[in-house]
Amino acid sequence: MNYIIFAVTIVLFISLYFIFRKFISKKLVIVKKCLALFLALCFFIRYFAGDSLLNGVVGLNEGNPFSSSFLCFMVALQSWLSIASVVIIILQPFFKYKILKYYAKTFCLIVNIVNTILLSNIAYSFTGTYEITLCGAFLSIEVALSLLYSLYLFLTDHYFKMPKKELIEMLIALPIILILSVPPYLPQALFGNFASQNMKDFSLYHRIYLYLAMIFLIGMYFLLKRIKDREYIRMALLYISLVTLISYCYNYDFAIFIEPTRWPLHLCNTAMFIIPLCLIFRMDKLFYFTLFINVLGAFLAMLMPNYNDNFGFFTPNVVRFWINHSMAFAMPVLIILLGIYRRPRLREFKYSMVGFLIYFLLVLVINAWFENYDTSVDFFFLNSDFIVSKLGQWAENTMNNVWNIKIGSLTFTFYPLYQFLFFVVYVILGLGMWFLYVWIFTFQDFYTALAEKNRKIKLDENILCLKYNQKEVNACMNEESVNKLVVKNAYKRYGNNKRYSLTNASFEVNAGEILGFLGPNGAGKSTLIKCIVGVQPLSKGSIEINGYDIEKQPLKAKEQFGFVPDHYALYENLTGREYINYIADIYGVSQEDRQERIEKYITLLNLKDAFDDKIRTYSHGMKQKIAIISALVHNPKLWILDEPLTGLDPNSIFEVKECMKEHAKNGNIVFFSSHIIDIVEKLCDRIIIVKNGHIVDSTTLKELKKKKLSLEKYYLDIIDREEEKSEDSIVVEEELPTKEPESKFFEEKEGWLKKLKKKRKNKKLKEKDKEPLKAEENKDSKEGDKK
Amino acid sequence: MDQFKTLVIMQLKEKIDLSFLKSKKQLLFKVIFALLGFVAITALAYVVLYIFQRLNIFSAINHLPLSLMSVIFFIMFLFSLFTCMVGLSKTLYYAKDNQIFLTYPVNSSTLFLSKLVVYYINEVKRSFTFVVPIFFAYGMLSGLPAYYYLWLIVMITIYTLIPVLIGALLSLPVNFIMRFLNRYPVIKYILLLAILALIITMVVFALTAIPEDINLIQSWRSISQAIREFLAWFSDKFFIFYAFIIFLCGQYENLRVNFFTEYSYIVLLVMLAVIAVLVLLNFLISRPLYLKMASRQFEFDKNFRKKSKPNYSYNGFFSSCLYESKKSIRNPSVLTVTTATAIIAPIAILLLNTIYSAINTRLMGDYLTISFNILVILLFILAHNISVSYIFSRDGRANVLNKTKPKKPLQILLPYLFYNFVTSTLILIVTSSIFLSSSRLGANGILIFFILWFIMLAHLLWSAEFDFLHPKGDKYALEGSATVNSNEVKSTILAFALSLIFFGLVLFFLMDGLGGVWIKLFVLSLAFLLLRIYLFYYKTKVLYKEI
Repeated sequence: MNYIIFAVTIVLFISLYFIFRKFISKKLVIVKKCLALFLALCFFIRYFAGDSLLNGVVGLNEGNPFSSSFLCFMVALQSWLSIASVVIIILQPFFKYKILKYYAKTFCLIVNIVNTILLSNIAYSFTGTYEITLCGAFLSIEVALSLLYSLYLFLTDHYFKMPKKELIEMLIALPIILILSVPPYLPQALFGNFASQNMKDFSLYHRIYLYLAMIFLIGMYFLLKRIKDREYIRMALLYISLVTLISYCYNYDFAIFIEPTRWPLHLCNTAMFIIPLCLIFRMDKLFYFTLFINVLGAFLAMLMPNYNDNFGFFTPNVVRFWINHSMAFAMPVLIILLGIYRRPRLREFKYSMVGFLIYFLLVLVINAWFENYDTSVDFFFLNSDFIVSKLGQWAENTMNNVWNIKIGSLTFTFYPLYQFLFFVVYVILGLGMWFLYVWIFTFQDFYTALAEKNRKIKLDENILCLKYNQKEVNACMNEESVNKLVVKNAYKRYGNNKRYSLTNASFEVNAGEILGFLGPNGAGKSTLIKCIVGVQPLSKGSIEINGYDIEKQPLKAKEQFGFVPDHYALYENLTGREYINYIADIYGVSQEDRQERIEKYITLLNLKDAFDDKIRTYSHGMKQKIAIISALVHNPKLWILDEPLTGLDPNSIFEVKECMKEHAKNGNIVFFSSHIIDIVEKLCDRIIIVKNGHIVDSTTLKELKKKKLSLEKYYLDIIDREEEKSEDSIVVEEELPTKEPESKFFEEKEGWLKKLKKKRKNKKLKEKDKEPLKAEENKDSKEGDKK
Repeated sequence: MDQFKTLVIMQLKEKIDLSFLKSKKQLLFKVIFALLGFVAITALAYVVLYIFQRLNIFSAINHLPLSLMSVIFFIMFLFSLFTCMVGLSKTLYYAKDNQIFLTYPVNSSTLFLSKLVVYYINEVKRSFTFVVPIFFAYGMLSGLPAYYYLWLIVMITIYTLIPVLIGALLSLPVNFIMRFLNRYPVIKYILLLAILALIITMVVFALTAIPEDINLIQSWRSISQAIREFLAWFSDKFFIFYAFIIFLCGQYENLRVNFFTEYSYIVLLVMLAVIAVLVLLNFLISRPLYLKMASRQFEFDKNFRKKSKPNYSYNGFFSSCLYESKKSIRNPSVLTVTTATAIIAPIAILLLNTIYSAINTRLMGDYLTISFNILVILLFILAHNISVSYIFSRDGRANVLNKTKPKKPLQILLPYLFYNFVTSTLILIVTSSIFLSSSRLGANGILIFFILWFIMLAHLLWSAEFDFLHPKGDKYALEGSATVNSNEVKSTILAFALSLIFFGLVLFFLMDGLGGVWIKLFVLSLAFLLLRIYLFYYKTKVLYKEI
């Protein structure tokens, strides 16, 4: 009989298709959506009208309604796969993603062909009869429609043709899709129920379910967070919420609509309906209720499950309990973490609390009312001692306060103290949840930013390696910058500060030059020096030291310079000798070189006597001398000094100046900042003046001499001139060319990387092609030699 | 007065991060977290006192005697006195900000007083973190009236002046003694050896005093009798503390608690008199010497050695490990913590296990013995590594210069941890050997050692991560120390949390009876360590150059 309905449906729909072919081809999307909704209706009717005999099957033997275990297995399998298939077909017209189409035309097609073969047996498993029933009729229509739909997609969408990437994606997702749609009775039907196991009190079996709930949350988060398209994530979450809702409703029938005591009004039960609703429609207030209230309730319920003690590991009620509570616990968290709804603020918290109050009052009244008809009514445990019994006598005492209100023949019983305390505690816990969420968001933001930064670093590294065809780029990146310090369009901004401390700084210093870096306090001198030595990263631009980029090749670049900071920063518990040797070891200075240099500088700077004493016993000037020796011990190409002469005695100032001259004479660069204009004038070849983060002037001392200007006057004039327009020169973020969006950055870089890889591949291929020729040539030459 | 106010505010702003006051949300979070912390400590104290009460350890009737509270108070007073003595010695005489403050046009009395007030405010904060929650818990257990809590807050705020003032007085002789010992290191070493010998003698005495067979149930009456006798003796001999506790918690008369009796007025007067005397003594003794002592820290004894040493060259990483370890060994506070842990931890484990082995335990007792051993070892080892939470900041501004070294971040940061890694591992080997030799765990002992070692390493890396992500180098450069270092607080909480979590896990798995306890814990601790290693590596790689 079921096959007749099946055949009629097929014929009817095929005829309708051919009659309204033109209309359908015009309004294909709408027709598909209507069909999907009709299919959903058929599924709903047959699901609520039937009562699966598989509920009673244990390990394919006990309670098996079929003649063979294999048939029972096949029917059980199909009843499981049908859930996934129906939900995929229902969702397919509403989402544009190809993956749904691929599933519908392959997986669903196969499932529905097998369903067609087993139709009468599947119908029997729901109704217990081979006669025609409401459930059987709608099941036949459902199978027919699903088959037609998947067949239509198969025929109209290039049969099995699909890109390799999407095929892999589909195959990876398939097990997850299937596991999530397992109906609660299936594990027991296939494997037995493992009865007489303790499923509570953190026993092994209780813990396994707890672990699974946590794994689901964490696993789904990491799986879905890779997807950038939020609509896609919404589709995936909607699928999960729908299949689990179907599993949750496995023992519901139409009678539930007239039996309010069976209504799903327990806190966690409501979540099963709220979550799909929030994913289908935009229901902000309802969602935040579930986020603050359901999650907490589900978590507590998972810790203290309320199923019977004699249930087994795979008893359908136990599986249903865990499907329900793990979803109520994990889904709202996933929705918020994956950005489907925005993060809660005070307003959203208020909404959730108002929602909770309404729910609480509703349940309070319903409990008190329905208790007159069925004493077991206890939604949200407001009328029983389930919760207080776990907290001890003091909590149980709160239930001694009872109010009985009589209205007509009905008695409304309330436990005001217990119920009030219950509400207050839950609100406080809700507040705690908010703090927990804020903490999780901070954590999430931190690690997301970290991952993004890491991705950028890796991309840059890969590009460099490919460009230079090396595993690690040690080669000089820019031949033109060898023996030079090159600063190009350098910008620096600290943290989230809108103001740039350094703006568009560009200059070059050549070998043999001593460059003086001048500017008033706070002009940006130290900022630039910090960027050159790698203490602070640049916000934009580049710095090359002797051909090495400080950002991209930090280690090689750092080997090129020695740095004397504006404040002595030394390890005070080491002796001077230990400190210098430590630095020499870091730079890999040989024993002979260090011996020679250390002797030279400690003699020159008159530090011999104190060299083996701890640095903390040194005076300010002595510490400065140690800093100078440590900067010179590896004979750097570039010597950077930030206010180096502060605190030095006249003799030492003279010696340091001599050192600087000698260092430059040897073909090295000396770059130093100072406020002592006289020294700069006598010592430097060139000066750069900086003000408000801008380089405002760069000139040689020779030019100044030609113009017969003293450096002091020149400097003061420039600073005064800049003072007048200082306010205009402060660059804030808005004035700068807008930064490239992150996605564009990655697209561009990844594109570049691909091109480079392709080039390299082509090059290799060409080399390979040449190899046989070369081999032949070699062979010929060898043979020639032999001859 | 204005100068005094400015000085106090200046120092407070430097010591306490008040940035949260700018944002309402941050303020709300701060207040709620502070309250939650207070509630958590109160709850913990409540649980401990509740257990004491239920087990009738200190009283035959179901009651917590005031003498017990006076002992607890006495211990906390001693602790507070010690920290004040050391802390004030550093704050008053060794703080680097003295270099700036001494040049200000304020008289030394104002500066001295401002430093005392700032320290007092910090000490009040500490009292509210530990002392007040314990007495709150006592009040809740004893059903004391609501005004007790208000009374307690006011009285503890006033009382906190006493350890601060005594600490300020004692910091002077302590300072002199320390200088004297530094000048004559031989005497210092002789003194240290004498202390070590004393400790060993006491341990040997304690070990021989422990009977070979302890039957707690049979001898419970005599033990509880001895405890009560001790409490009575304490209340008699240390009457001041007992009297103060009666004054604080009220006196029982006909099952009612009376707070405001004649007796309490007398105690209040005595307390105020003591404070007045201490203020006077500080004014007469400490204040005049303050300027002299504080300014002496910046004078240098130019007594340089004439004999020079050779230069040695080592491999880069080894050299870093060597010199970083030298820095730690030469840091007195680090060396003190290591020495103290190296001496106390094995002794504590030895004593604990001698007592345990003398008690005839059942299976549950054995489980508890193992779990407690693990808890105690972890507490010692992890507490030893708390100093890692400021290991980079301790270098002050030199820490920033690390970034200019041509080394990968890990090559720069890991050598810093070498000293703690080696010393903690050695202490762990000794303590766990003592524990395992007295237990019957057999080959599982090796697994237990590795479990403890993995947790220790994970905590070490995590604490170091706190510091390199949120360095306090400027604070250390300016003051030589950070009074409230959030990284240190985090690391301390982490040490306690990890110890308690693993204690709970060991007990839980043992009681679970499913077997494979040590393998499960081994896998768990290894996974935890690997996660921390990965995160440490990942964060250094990505974030080091930005911080």
